Amino acid sequence: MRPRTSHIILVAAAVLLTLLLAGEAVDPVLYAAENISTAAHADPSTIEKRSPGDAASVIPLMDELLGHTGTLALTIKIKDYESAQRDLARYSELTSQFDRLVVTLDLSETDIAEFQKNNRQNQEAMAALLNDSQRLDELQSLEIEVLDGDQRMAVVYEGEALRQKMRETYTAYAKREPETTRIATHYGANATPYQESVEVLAEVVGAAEEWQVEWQDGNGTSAGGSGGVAPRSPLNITVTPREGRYGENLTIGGRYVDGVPGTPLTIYVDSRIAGNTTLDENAAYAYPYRIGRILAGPHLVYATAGAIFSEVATFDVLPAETNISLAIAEVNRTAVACTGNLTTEDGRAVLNAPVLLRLDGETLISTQTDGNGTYARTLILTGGEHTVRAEFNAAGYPLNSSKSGVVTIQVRGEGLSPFPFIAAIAAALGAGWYIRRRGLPPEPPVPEEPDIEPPPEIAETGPSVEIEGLPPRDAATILFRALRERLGIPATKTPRECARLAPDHVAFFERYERIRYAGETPTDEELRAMEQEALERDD
Amino acid sequence: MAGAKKYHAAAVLAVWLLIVTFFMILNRTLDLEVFFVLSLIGLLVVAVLIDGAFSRPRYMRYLGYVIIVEVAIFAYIVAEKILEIIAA
Repeated sequence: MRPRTSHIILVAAAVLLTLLLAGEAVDPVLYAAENISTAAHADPSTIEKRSPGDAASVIPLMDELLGHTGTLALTIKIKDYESAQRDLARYSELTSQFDRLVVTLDLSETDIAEFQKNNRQNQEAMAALLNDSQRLDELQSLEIEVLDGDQRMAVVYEGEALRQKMRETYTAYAKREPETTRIATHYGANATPYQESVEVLAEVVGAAEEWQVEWQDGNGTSAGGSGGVAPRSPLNITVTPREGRYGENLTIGGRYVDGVPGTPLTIYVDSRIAGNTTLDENAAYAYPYRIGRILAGPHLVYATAGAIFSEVATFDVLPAETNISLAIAEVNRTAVACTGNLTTEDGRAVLNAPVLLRLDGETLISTQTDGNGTYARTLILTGGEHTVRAEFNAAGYPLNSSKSGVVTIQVRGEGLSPFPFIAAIAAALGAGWYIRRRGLPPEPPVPEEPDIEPPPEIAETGPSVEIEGLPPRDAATILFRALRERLGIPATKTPRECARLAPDHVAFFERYERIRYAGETPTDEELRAMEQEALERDD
Repeated sequence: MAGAKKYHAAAVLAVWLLIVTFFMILNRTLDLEVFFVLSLIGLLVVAVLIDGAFSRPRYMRYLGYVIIVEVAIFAYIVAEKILEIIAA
């Protein structure tokens, strides 16, 4: 390659690279391990930096969660609801973080998972107690202001419902305390704030009951079902059956004595509106309540017809086991469709429930069941073998979590593109050509050959070379080249190869080899002898 | 002395690969492609440095074959990366 061409290519490449780097300088991060878009780009060394995925953060997080229960209970007790809401938000955030950690580290078979379950329930209990305390406070103020009999009854009934609900929530909270404390102590976490929170919440619930007692003492009445001499509400309520599992229907019904047919009624479950119904011609009502996403345990129900409140009835939701299935079908070379059903042990479909697909034991992909309890998700995968497992965590459901079996799939992957192979072959050819060219001597021997190579008739005189005035070693090199050319030996051959090709001149070539490579300096006599041999002179 | 050159070159190349490995482990970014590219760079530098002006030993010819193969693999890696970026 000519030097000018080399320089032009070098300058062009330098300019191109400078332009590319200038573009990068404005927005330097094109790809980083922290913002990976596909699992194929995941860099394991950065995972622990991106998320609290290391096992070492489990215990500190447990500590922090337990610490938050104490703070939250105290803020509820002192009725600082604004701070309590903030604390609860932080507690929920930490709980979600802990849930993710348990899933990421696959601790679902350990007692850490038990702690996670208890903690999740504690968080829900705290949220319920906070809301109920707040509502109870509102009712206390309302009770002072309201003098009208019906409205007063409404306040009393709602207060009674809340009081019962708070008592049950607290009982469940306290029941979890020994097990949670045991696990926390086992791992060296500080459970004292959590134990204190149980005592503090007992005081909160106790205060709510005291208020109710005061009210009863002052007014000579109490809510239905709590004893005393309270007049029975004209609006009856019963729940049949008294207990059920997920997906089963309960009938909330009763009669409204002196009620007008068509009167609208509102049904409340745990102080939240569950639905509306109307009185029939017999002044009776029946509302079908389907047990859905509601925690296992006792729940309160009452009905209102305008300002008239019913008594408070209860029903129990029993926990149930679940089964999750997983089937995988190939969609194309890189995509597979994961489908399955989530059902309870008695075959009822679990509707609109979150399902996690664990890919290769690590990556989690979330999906959801539809109205038939079926989920479907298409995964785009790289070629090779992959494992998939479906998991249902059951948070917020009266159901136990379940996992499907691990399904192994073989993904064919995209066919090999010819472009990299073409590039590789082209590069190999280019590199071969370049190395071959580079191996040639710098001076082009071809154009000079006609001048140097003598015609047969004047071959005896040999080519003319001028060595006068040159350093001895350079003169020897010129004589070596002259002899090599005269003998027709290619310029790529070394002195040793030349000696092998022309045995008649072996002494010349061996002498030159020593001059060239051993650094010896030829004498004038030797140079003359070499000149005679190179040029075939007899004198 | 001249024959020792190829041994020196091999030693230098081995030291270079050890340095690369050391820093890759230190940075916790073990990547075969990056290692390959850095080893190719080392090989090219060594090949240029040991290449003589007037003679071409046999090991240089063999080294040329190795370089051709490695350049082909390098081109394959680059082409794959280009396809990945285009597909993203």
